[in-house]
Amino acid sequence: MHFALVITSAPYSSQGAMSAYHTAQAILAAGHTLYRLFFLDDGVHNASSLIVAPQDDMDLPAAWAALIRQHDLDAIVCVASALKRGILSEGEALRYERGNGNLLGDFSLGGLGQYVDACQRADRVLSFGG
Amino acid sequence: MTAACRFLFICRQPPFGLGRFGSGLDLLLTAATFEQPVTLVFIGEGVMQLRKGLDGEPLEMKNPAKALAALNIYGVDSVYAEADSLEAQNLDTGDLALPVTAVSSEQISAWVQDADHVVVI
Repeated sequence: MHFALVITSAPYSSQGAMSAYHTAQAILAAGHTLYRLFFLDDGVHNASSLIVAPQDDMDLPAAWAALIRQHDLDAIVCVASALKRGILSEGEALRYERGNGNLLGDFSLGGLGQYVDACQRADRVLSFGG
Repeated sequence: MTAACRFLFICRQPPFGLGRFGSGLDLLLTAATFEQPVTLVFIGEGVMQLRKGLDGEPLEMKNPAKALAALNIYGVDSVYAEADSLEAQNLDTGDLALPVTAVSSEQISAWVQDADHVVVI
């Protein structure tokens, strides 16, 4: 089956982001296809390069980045949500004169059209909020 | 050609709460732009988003009516409100900022079962 995950939960703020990560792992381990990860609203914080996780806690953004790299996943961060929350690519940081960008390189900025596309193409779309 | 995805959007939040209403409506309008079937339902305190005469100016916030006006422009006319919720908020469909059909919670449950993708905003 083809899955898409929609994540609207920020890391460390509620359980949703961690649940999404573990679900993504389980989907891939079971041999299914993870068509897209779509990070929306507070979920965009999962793509921040500035998060410093406590040493005895899991570094969720780094874990996402490793998973995306390992499986060549399509990980989209909604640009509208990201701009409002200060998650900027180098290009956006330059455009809006905000200094350096802080979007982890394994994620890509995208739009809601890619969310709609995922809903059309995936067999199941799982949402992780909170 | 990919199959259409039937979207059901459920608004539960009252106005001016800085929740997902704005971004949720953006997603709804995107789905409509992509010619996907879209239904929007207001339940619970969410029906207050529909009230005529809301004024966000003292709060320096946007009025929901402005965003809701875009529904008509995008050809979204499947807008509903739960009848019990309207009654609980002392609202009649005539008190609302746009044409809305009152429906039962049983009908909404049926739509939830029938939709391909449900988004709570």
